[in-house]
Amino acid sequence: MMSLAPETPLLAVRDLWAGIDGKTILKGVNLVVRPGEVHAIMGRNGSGKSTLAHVLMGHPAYEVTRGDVFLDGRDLRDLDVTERARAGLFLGFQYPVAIPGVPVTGFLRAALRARRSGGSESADVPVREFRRTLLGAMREAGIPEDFASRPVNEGFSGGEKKRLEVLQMLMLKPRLAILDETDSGLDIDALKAVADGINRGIAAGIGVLLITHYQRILDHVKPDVVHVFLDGRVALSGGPEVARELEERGYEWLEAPGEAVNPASLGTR
Amino acid sequence: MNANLDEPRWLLERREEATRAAGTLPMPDRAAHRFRFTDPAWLWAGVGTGADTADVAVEATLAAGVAGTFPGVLASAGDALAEFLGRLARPDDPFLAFNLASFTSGAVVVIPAGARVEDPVRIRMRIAKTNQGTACAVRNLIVLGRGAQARVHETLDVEDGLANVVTEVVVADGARLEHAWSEEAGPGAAAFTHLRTSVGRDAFVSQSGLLSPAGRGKAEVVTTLADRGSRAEATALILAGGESHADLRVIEDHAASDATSRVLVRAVASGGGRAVFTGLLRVREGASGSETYEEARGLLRSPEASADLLPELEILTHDVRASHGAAVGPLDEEARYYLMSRGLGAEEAEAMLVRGFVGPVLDRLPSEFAARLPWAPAAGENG
Repeated sequence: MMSLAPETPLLAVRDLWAGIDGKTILKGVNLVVRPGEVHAIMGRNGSGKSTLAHVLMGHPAYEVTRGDVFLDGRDLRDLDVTERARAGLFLGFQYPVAIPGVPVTGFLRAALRARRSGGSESADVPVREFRRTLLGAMREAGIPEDFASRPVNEGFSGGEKKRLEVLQMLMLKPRLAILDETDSGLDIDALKAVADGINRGIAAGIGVLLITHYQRILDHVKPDVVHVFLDGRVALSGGPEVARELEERGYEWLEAPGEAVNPASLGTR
Repeated sequence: MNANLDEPRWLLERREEATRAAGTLPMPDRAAHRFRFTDPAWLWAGVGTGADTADVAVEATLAAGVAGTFPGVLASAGDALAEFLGRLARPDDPFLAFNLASFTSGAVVVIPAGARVEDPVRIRMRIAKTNQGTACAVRNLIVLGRGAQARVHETLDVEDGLANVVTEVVVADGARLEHAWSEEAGPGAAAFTHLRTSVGRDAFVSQSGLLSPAGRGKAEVVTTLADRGSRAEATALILAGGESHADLRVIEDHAASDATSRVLVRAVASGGGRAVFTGLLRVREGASGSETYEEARGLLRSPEASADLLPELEILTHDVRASHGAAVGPLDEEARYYLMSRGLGAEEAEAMLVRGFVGPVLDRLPSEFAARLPWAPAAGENG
């Protein structure tokens, strides 16, 4: 995984079709993320952004009917969720799931062990060393220390959950982090903290696929490429100016029948 | 019956009374919650059958008091036995009557007033095999004098056959007992246990149980909050896997004012296992200022597994705070997905979820009990 030819994309999605309960949601997604790049995906509710995130992660409820996904050149088709995570994929959940009775510490230690070693006991992280690392990361992420012994995401506020997602990303150091609306429901301080965390991850070489509704996170996290998602596919890709354009004009102009969208025309207004 | 003729008169009389009761009392009604899910016939071998003797051992470090087994303990703990044996768990149903009539083994622990016992007192009961159609009866008595403090770990292992074990516990005024119990029965074996506790004024008892039969197990934990300010906490973990049947009944009986009780149960049913919990919170007339709370949750790990959790309330006085809740459901698939998305394997993720689910009751069990469970926490894993 480490010795890659420079031209191998970090993530390559080719003509991906997928759905759930017999309903097709993704209708031919094409996407290429190169190592270390930051891509933003914007789009309306229901356009298929979260579905893309779960399909990439391998959620068992979704069915892929066509297309390919490669991570670091590795075909993900036959990999389950665990294997995708161990291959270097991370999903920051839009709605992080509460795990009753499982303290943050034990959970993260198990996750770190799994990430490092494919789960074998031999890669166990000594408790004290781990705790030191965790508490340091929590301080950086602005998460109170006592969260370490609380059950994962149980009784956490929306902002606290999102901070914990980012903290997990930083500790697990994936190759590619898909962050599904990690910026939604945050006040300004939390947004800033989350953005700082994402930027630290980017600086550490993590590729980021940032799914968002809002321009405002992109004031803090600078994307290399912005994609607009419409009806289950990428309708438009361009630079950061695309996000500003959306902020001003909404999505409707992209749907206007017959209107050809020329990315080159954007950003010149 | 098998009563030893060297036994004191009071015991012979109680046995006679119990023998009559065992032969004449009607079988408990399956319409009542007590035996709604467990056929009494599974646990009944009839009266007059020859009894086997269980292997019962007590391990204790006591500066004063008694820790011993029948029949020898009749000499050293005669007064306590005469006062309490058969007086808490009276022979008022065939199971309790049979036990008192025919027990030949058991442990007796008496902690004198004011004594503080540091190390847990361990009562180990092992029943290797009983004769066809015979139940092995064991009777234990634990007495804590006023202000005494102790921990008792009581384990029952029925490898084969049928066991009927009754433990009577007296927690006198101001005393404090932490009582942990476990009940196991091998495949094809069946165990009936009845733990009857009386809690005195401002006294406290915690009962932490593990009911994990491979065969059939029915455990009853009946606690009387007998005097003002008494407190009781009953927690239990019920595990039913394979073809096993595990039925726990808890009764918190508030007979005095300003008493509090708390019941917390977790049941995990897998394979074709059946877990049952019925929990009665009873507040008698005049027991004002009572607080009682019960929460039971079940986890189903296979489509064939079942868990029936039924809280009951019987409130006969005003000025009571009582609440209860029960819920049964499968493993949270989204939680499993979340853990797997962090690199945990499917099995590891499930084990972590189950461990989290049972955490509130598992944490109350002695480590020697918990260590036998498949998803015992690794050292330091608990934050």
